[in-house]
Amino acid sequence: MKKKRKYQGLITGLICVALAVLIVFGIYFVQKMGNKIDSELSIEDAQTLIDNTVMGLPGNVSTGAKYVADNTAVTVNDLSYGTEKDIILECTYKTVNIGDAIETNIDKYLENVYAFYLDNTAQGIKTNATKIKLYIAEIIEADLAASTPVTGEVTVYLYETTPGVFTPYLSDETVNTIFGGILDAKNIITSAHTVTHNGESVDIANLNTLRTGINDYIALKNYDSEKPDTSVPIEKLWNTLKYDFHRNFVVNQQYKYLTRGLATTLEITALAVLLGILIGFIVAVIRCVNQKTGKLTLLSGICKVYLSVMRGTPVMVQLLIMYFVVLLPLGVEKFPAAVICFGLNSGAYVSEIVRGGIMSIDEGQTEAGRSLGFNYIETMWYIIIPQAFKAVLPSLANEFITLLKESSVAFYIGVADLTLGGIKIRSITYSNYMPLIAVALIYLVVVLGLSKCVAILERRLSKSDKR
Amino acid sequence: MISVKNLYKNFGENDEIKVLKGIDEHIEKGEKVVVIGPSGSGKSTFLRCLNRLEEPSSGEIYFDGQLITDKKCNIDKLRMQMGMVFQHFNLFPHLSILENITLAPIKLLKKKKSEAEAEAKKLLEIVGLPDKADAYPAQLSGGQKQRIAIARSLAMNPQVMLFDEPTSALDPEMVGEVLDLMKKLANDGMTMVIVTHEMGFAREVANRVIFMDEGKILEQGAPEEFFANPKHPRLKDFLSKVL
Repeated sequence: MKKKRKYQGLITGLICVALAVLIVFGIYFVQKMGNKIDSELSIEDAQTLIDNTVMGLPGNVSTGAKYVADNTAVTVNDLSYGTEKDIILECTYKTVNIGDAIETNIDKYLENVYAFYLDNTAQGIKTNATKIKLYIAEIIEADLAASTPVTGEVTVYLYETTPGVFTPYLSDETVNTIFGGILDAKNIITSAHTVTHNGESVDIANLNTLRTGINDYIALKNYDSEKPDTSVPIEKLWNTLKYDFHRNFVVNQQYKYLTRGLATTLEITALAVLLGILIGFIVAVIRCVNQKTGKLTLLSGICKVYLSVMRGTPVMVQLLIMYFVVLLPLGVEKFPAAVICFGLNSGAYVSEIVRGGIMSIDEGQTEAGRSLGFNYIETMWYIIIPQAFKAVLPSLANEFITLLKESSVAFYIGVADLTLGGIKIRSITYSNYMPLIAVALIYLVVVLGLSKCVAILERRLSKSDKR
Repeated sequence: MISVKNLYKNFGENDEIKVLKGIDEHIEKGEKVVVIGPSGSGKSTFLRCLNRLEEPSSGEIYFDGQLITDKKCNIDKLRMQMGMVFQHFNLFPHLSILENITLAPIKLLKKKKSEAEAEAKKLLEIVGLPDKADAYPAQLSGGQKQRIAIARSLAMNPQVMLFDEPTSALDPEMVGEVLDLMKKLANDGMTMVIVTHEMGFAREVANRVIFMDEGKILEQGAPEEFFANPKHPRLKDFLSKVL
């Protein structure tokens, strides 16, 4: 029965997660199914779109690329509808084999521009990329005109980005094919690092101007290889989340605000808890001794005042007073100040819990201890407190979990805890939900983890109760 | 060994409840004294005053010639020599049986753990529970618990054992095992003061039986004479009801 109960929570959790995943994927598929093209497109309109795109890609200044575009013809033969708001166009193309021309003649071009560059330098004229482009244009264009055109088949996609508006999507590969290897040509140019001059190999790795000049001649200035966005809302949400996650936590390793903050929070809590237990047990024992034997009246009175103050004022006010009024003038740093404040505060609550625990132990236990010859303190230490501790463990654990959460006000005196980590990220990115929910989730996970640990500890301690 | 002189004990804020009204008693070494009497007669209070679990209101108690009612007296030292067994056993539930027995010898007599444990195992043999060393009190029956409680007291090597109604909280079938153990103890020469309702046991074991009522000792004597020929009318009345 107990075993069954143990796994019930886990199973319920798993079922919930599975359901959530199913629902998300369900929404995804429903939205995908609905993600159909809204309007139809004739082959003629598709042809016009393709022509405009092909003509537009080079822009106005790349005269070589423009020459290629002018001499390129892409003919739409067939049109079909895809599933992702896309139209598939089966086309044939005829174009200038610029890739071949550049590959064959690259050495010649480089020799020419290098000579041009040396010439200019000798005359004291500065050579820039535009001059090179203008100089080389005629030479290359002659080669292009002499080259044999290439033909072939190619598939081009149109995407409906908004209802009725179609955007052609030309991948790198497609552009390279339609424009006769123009991107290959670019790679050849940019990787050319030596030139033969007067029969000797000269290193021009540092003369970027030469390459840029040639490259400018064939560059596709209007080309954008990004695929048009036709994703469904849930995909967009997912992408937004990914993007926000990245800019909040990954950029500049901003997640370290949270990890370091968590470490600080745990350190403060752990140290304050230890201090709280120490103070709590001392106060509880003093009050119990006073209650049972009538001794330690003065100490007990001090304890009562301490309890009233600690339990009668908000922890945040205590923190501010403790730091700014008491500890700052003494030169105490923020971190120990927070530990002292939370420790003192927690001690008040712990002492009441422990006192309740001590009172709940049967009087016979004290009598048995005393009759064996233990004095009052020894009886407390060896016999009463171990039992009281076990009895109050769940309440103590709750107190510590409360303390972990309460420690989040430490950022008010500037302690860089987990909460302040979230606030810092928020002030950098102006993003609200991502850092704050992350902070909340981290607290939640830590608290649940602590609760689990306490449950395990309780099971261990209850060994002596087993029948 | 124990001398009680003019012992008074009052309870309540203004001492308005008078429980013991002038007890004078002397217990010799090796004597087995059984105290009987109706409920509320003060017999348990009398017993608990002997090791000052109850603070006497007035009067004097001597143990081995030492005045233990003196404020300056180190009562903790003296209690080590006076074992006590309670009605409700009062075993320490958070400790195993072995730890229950060895706690006081290790902490108070500063015995080595191994030594204390060896002695504890011998005691467990004596009380007939050698296999329970690693058990916890909650796993034992009432009779077993009381036998462990006796072993725990014996571990301190006391000169006298005080029994406060040791069988009153037990199921009838478990009374025998505890009484048998106490008889064994008596035969070994232990000085014992026993508050009980077990008349058969009193008759068999006691050197002397004391009858208390309303805070006073009304009659005492050797058990044969005491039970066969009671003199005080209150005792006659009491015995007629319990026998």
